[in-house]
Amino acid sequence: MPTGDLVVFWLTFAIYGLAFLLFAYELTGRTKGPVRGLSLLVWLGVALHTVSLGLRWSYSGHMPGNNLFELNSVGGWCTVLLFQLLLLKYRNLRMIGVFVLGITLAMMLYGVSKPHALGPLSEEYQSPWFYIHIISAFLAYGCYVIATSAAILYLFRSFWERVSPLQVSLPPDALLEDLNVRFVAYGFGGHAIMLASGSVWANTAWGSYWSWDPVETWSLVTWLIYGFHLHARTFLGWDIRRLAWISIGALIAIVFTFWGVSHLPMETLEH
Amino acid sequence: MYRDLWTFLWSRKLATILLVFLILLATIGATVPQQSVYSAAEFVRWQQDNPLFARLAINFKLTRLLESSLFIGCSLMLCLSLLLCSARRAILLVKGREEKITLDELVIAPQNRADIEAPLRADQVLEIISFQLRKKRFSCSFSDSQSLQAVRGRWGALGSLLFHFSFLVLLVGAITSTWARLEGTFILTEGQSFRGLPGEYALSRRAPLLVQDSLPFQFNFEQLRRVDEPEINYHNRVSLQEESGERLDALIRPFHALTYRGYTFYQSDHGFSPALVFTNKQGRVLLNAFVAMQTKRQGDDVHYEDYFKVPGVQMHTQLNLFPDADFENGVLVNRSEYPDNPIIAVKVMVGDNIFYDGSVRLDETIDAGNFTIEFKEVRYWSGFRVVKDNGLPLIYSSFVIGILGYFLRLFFIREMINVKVGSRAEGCLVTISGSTEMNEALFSEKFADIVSTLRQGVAKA
Repeated sequence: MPTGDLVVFWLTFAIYGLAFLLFAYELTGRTKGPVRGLSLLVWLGVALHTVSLGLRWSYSGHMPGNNLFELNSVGGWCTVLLFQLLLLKYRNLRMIGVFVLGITLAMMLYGVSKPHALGPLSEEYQSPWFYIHIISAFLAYGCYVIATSAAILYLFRSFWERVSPLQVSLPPDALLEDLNVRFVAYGFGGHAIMLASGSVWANTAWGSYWSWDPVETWSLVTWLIYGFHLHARTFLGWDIRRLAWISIGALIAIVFTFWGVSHLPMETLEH
Repeated sequence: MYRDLWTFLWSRKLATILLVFLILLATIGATVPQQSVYSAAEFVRWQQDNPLFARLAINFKLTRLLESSLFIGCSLMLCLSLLLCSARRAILLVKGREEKITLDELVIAPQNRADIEAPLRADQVLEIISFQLRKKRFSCSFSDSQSLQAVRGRWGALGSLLFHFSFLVLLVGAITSTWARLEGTFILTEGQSFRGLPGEYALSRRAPLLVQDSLPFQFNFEQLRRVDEPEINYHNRVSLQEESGERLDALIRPFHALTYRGYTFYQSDHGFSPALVFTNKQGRVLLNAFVAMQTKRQGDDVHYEDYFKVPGVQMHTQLNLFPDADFENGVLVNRSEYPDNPIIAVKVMVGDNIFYDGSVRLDETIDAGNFTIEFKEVRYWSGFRVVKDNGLPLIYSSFVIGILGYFLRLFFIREMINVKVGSRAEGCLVTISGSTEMNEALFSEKFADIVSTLRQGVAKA
C-alpha cells in the first residue's frame, strides 16, 4: 500500500509544530520583533500539506474525506490556508497563528490516531452532495477556528496583562472583535450550506431529509450557537469579552459533534 | 394592549431568547437518545444498559423531547416572531422607511473621522464629494445646504429579510412534509411489475392530507445485479412505463434513489425468490409462484428462509435456501452468496409434527408425501421503499432562499458617510465621518481609502 502521503503528512506536521513553537516563543516577547521567515515556513507547511492530500487523492482516486483522518487533514489544511491568506492582508494578526496552528495540530493528531487505510469511496459517498457537504464544512470549520483563535488571543491578552505587560505587539481589540464576528459570519454561511447539502444528500441516500440523529442535531445546535453569537453582538450589544467565550463554547460543541457524539449513551445512526 | 403584544412578538430580544431556549432543548435532545430516532429494540437495549439514566430521562419525558409540544411550540414561537419581525421589516423596506442607524446615534471611532480643507464654496465641495461617493456606489442625500449623507449596502436589509423568511418557508415545508408524505414498501421478483398503491404491502407512513392513489405509471423490476467492486453491492435495473408506452430505464442502488414524477424509489432489501410448484396426487396445482424468501442476517451469516401454509391442504412448509450449496458430513452448508448450486431444504409439517424432511435441487421434483414440489428456477427479489413527499420542494426552496439571503446580508453591509461643511474665511473645512453597522475596525481601512479619494477629488478641483 502506498504510504508517500503519510510521510509528507508527518513532514507537514513537523513544520507546523516548529512554526507553532516559534509563534509561541514570539508571543512570550523574548524575540526582538517578529521571527523572520516564520510566514514562509507556514507556507512551506501548506505546500507540503497540499502535496500530502494530492498524493492521497491520486492513490485512492477520490477526494480525501472518506474517514476521520482525511476529514481532519483537509480541515487542518483549509484552516491554515485561510489563516495565511488572511495574513496577506492583515499582517498584524500573525499572533493568532499560535492558536490556529495549535488547533490544527490537535486536529491532525486526532485524525492520524484513527484508522487511515486507503480505500474506495463508499457507495453512500458517491454523490455530488457529498463534495458540497464536506467542502462547505471544511470552509466553515476553518473560519470558526480563525474566529476562535482571535477570541482566545483577546482573552489571553486581557488575562496576561493583569499579571505583567506583554512585550509583543498584538492587534487591537477592535480588530480582534471584527475578525471574530466576520469569520463567525463566514463560517455560519458555510455551515448553513453544509446543513442544507447534508439534508439533500440524506434524502437522496436514506429517504429522509432530517432524522434528528445525534450528529446532525449537534451540528444544528452548533449552528444555532453561532447564530446566537451573531445576534448577541447586533441585538444585545455584547462585546468581545462575552463573544470570545461563546466562540470557545461553540468550538467545543463542534469538537463534540465530531468526537464526543460517539461517546453518547447510544451510537449514532447513519453518520 | 394589542400594540404591546405586537411589539413584544416582533422584538429581537424575544427572538434571541427563544433561540437560546431552542439551543438548550436541542442540546438535551441531542444528548439523550430519542425514541423516535431509534428502533424499539435498540431503545430497550439502551434502557437495560443505563437503567438509572433511562428511568430519569423517561420520567422527565426527555426521550421524546424533540417531538414534544414544548420543543415544537418553541420552534413555532420563534418562527412566529421571525414572521412578524420579517413582515415589519418588509413593510418598512417597501415604504423606504427601513430602520436607519443615524450617525448621531453612533459613537464614531476616531480613525473614522477626517477633515479636509478646501479653497472652495460649500456647495461646490458637496457636489464634488457626492460625485466621488456615487462612483463608489454610495447613494447620497443632502440633509441641508451644508451636509450630506451617503449610504451603501442597502441590499443587506433585503438579505436579512430573505434569510429569516426562509425559516417560515422551511416550517411550512416541514408541516406539509408531516401531513402530506406517503411512505411504504413493495417487493418484486425480477421480471415482475407494480402499479398499485405506494405502500400497498407495507405502509409505514400515512399522509392525512394526501389522497392515496395508485402509481401513475408502471414500475418494472428487470434485474438485480451483484457488483463486487469497489465493494459488494446490489444494483437494481428497473424501467418505468407510462400509459402512452414511453419508457425510462434506470438503476436503483444503495444510497442512490430514483425520483420520477414526485415518487422516489429506494432499495430497501433483497433476497432469493425460487419458483416453486406444489402439485397434489390428483395432479391439481396447489401453488405455482415465486416465493420471496426472507433474508435473515446474523453478523456475517445470511439465511434465506420462509414458512407458509400450503394452499388447499392442512400442512405448513418450512423452506431454507442454500444458494451455493454443498454437503459436509451429510449436512447442507452454503459456500457463497452466488446462486451457483441452489438447494432448498424442505420440511413439511402438520402442527408440530414433521411430515417430510428433505431437500430439492434446481430443476428437480420431490415427493413430499401428499404433494410434489418442483423447484423450477431461482431469481432475486428486491424490496423498494417508495416515498412521495410534497413538502420537499418547499424545504429545498427554503434552503436556496436562506443561503441566498444570508450571502446578500454578508456581502452588503450598510456603510454610511456623513459630510459636514463648515465655512471659513478662505474656503471651507469639510468634516467627514464614517460608520458601518458591523466590522468597525475593518471598515477603517475602507474609510481611509474613501477619504483619500475625496481629498484627491477636492484637490483636483
